[in-house]
Amino acid sequence: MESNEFIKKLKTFALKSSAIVAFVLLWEAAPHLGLIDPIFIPPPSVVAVKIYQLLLSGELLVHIAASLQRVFLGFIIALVVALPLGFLIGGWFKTFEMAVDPLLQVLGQANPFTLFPVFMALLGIGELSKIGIIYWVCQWPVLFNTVSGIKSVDPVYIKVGRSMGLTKFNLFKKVLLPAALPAIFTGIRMSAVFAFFMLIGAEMIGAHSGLGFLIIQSEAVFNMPKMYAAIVSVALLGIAINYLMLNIEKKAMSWKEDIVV
Amino acid sequence: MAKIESVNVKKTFKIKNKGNQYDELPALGGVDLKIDQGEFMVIVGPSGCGKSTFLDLVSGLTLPDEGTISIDGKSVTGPGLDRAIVFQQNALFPWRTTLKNVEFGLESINSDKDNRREIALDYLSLVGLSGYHNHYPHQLSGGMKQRVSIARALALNPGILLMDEPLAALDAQTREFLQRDILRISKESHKTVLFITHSIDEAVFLGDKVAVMSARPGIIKQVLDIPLTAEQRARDDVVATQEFVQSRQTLWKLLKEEVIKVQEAQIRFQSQSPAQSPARVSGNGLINAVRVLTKI
Amino acid sequence: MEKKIKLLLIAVAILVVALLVRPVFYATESNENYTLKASVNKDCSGTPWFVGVEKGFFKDEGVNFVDVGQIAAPQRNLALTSGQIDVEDVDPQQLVNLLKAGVKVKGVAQSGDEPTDGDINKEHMHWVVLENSSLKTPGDIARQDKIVKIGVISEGICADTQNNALLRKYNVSKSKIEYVVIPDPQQEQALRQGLIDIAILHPPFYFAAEKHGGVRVLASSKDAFKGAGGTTLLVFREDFIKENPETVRKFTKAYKDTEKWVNRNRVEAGILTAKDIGLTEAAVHYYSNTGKINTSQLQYWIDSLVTDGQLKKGEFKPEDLYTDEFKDTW
Repeated sequence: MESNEFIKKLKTFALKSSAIVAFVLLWEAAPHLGLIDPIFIPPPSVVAVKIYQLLLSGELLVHIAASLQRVFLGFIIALVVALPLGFLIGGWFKTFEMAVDPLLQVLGQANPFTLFPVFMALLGIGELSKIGIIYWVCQWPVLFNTVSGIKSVDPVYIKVGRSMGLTKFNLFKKVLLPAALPAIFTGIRMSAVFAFFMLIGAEMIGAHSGLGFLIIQSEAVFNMPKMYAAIVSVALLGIAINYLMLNIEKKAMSWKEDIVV
Repeated sequence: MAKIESVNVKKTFKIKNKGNQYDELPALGGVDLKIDQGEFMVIVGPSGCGKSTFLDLVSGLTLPDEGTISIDGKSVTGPGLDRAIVFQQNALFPWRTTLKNVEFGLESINSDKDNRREIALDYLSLVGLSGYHNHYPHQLSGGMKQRVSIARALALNPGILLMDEPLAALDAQTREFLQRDILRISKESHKTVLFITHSIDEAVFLGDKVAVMSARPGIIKQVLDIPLTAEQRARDDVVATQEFVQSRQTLWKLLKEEVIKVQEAQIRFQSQSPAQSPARVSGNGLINAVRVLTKI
Repeated sequence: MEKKIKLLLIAVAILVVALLVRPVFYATESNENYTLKASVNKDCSGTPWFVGVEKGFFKDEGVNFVDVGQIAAPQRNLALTSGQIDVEDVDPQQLVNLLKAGVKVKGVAQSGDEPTDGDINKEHMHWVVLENSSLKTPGDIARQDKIVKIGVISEGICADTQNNALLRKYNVSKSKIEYVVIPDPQQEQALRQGLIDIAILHPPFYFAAEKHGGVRVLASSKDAFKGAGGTTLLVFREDFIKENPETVRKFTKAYKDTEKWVNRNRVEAGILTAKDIGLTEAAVHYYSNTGKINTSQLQYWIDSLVTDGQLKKGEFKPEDLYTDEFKDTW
């Protein structure tokens, strides 16, 4: 029985990775097929070697650490700001919502790249402005998903809570919050991934390290293998973080039967 | 003194119409009803007549526009722990286990964790679900979920149980079993019950008295005494007894008039303005009418 | 299941075969009409293009170009490599970067150069500081208490390479400074906010900053880089040169004629450039008056890169960077 289980797991794993494997194989073959020039899109074998070299020299870890730190801080600040704000807006404070919502809609549309001069003027060119840019990008998915999560809570839950004489606070804590948690988690997960996409933007100015910096820097000196090594590293980190968050979500909401990691 | 007393209760809803103005929808047109302590009162009536609204008012979730509802002589001003509701739709919190769901109401009044757990387990076994306390709602069938809802409502030991068509969403067999359970539990615990249903059979089986509500705006058309004894109800062939058959027939006649009124209103409505549909409906009126009519 | 496995095997087989085949990479185009592809950016780098068209220099040689549109600086090397464009105007460091990456390119003529008449406004870069800065000469950098922050577009291109040379010239240790990567357009703001102490700017940015006032020029590229600060070469891919020698010849001649004209008519060139960019006025670069490739300048670049550790000694000679096949155009 055990070996059957193992074979089954192997088959599932093979199936799940088949698309990725096919993609990597295609990428590797593309230069030989004349589809792309290996000088400016190096094949995975070259990129892998470069990643290995960068890991060995310790250089990659320095950049990863720098970027992770910025992402982590920006992300946490976004949570601290956007979650309470989302509760306030999605909750029962209708006047607050009406006053604040239009402004938020406008700000949420603003492309972070166009806001650069603002970030620079307010926060300078050091770590603060980088964390600031990441925070800015991260807060929107959290905010909007929290608001919509709270608003779409089934009203019958509220009715149950009210009929049992719950205070507004307890109603929020015991009914609204857990009911909205799936949507909130989605927002949190999205913003964690967004944070990685914004690394290039955040590390464009005044950076000495970081994966985004590495991408920009490598391109400027036309070191394509290094650039792609950095790009692939960002992608892999993003995937890892996504999986991590999915696992956390699964544990926190073990009652939900349809989360598949 | 009656346990629950409703005097001339009126409620009107304002519905936004297509022209962005407000239409007035009178739901209750002056409901007078007395329910005694320990009584099982069933309300039947055509769709949209205001039964659920009335239940909301008794629970204190909304307040009447005119008239008063009193419990033990005191006016109802809001929800309270002396009343518990069981809804038709599944209202169990999916993120809590069965046990935790039943404990829910207790958390605000009982700070003793172990005591709460004990009480909750008691009620779970009362509704026949011991052993399922660690299950999550999504793992239970519809009937089981409603049992848990009932346990949750009972856990607070309210004097009054309010039930809004709690069995309507279940299949016929589960429904019959649960009807017997509800009757047994409410009698054993001496609760006063206000029960809403569309099913005449259910009303006769469960109710000490059945109040027929008129079409909208709802008032109590008549209150019927159901002369079945507890022994009779406990029998498997209760539906064949003379008392049952007669009660049902009387109820049917009373109800039929109201259902036809609703039907005619529907047809009038549709010929006037085919695009509009009646607001505040608990289901298509015509379909409900057919449901009632075919439950013979 | 059988069928699926068969399909999978066929797919794998195709991939394996593909991996073993090595076809020619890009189709070479035959060039009847002496046309080539170029990317003209709407800034002062576009001057030779705008003027060349307006003044008919290209027409005179019977050569034509197709403007594929604007391509930002970081992507231009890619464009040249991939064949999106056929020609580019680059400084020796960028040329070395291309060669290091294995791209087969060669310079055919010298485009940009530093002026010989001492006019600082013709130079390649200015080191700009605030009017009230305590830095009066580059040597002052060594005497500051705090680390001096210098804005550069990126690390590993002309700005920091030339600055490294400047520091060496004034005996300032690199530990006294910190490079801060800021794109040119944002450096003025950073300077005025005090986020950096020195901004190293190309035109039009140094013109703009100086025009706005409150700043002064601490040093210039001639000061920093011994007259090689403005060197740029007109660069083609080797295979393009092989397939279209006449096009390259005609184009180079027309381009150089344009640049020589610009050197003599800087005001009018500025007006033409401004018109084509859509501004009211534009800065104009200075170009080599002959097109002859100055090998000692190339050597100076190579030596600086070796000193900075970007190149190994002997890795490149000036001859690796260019071909004199077209010296008849110089």
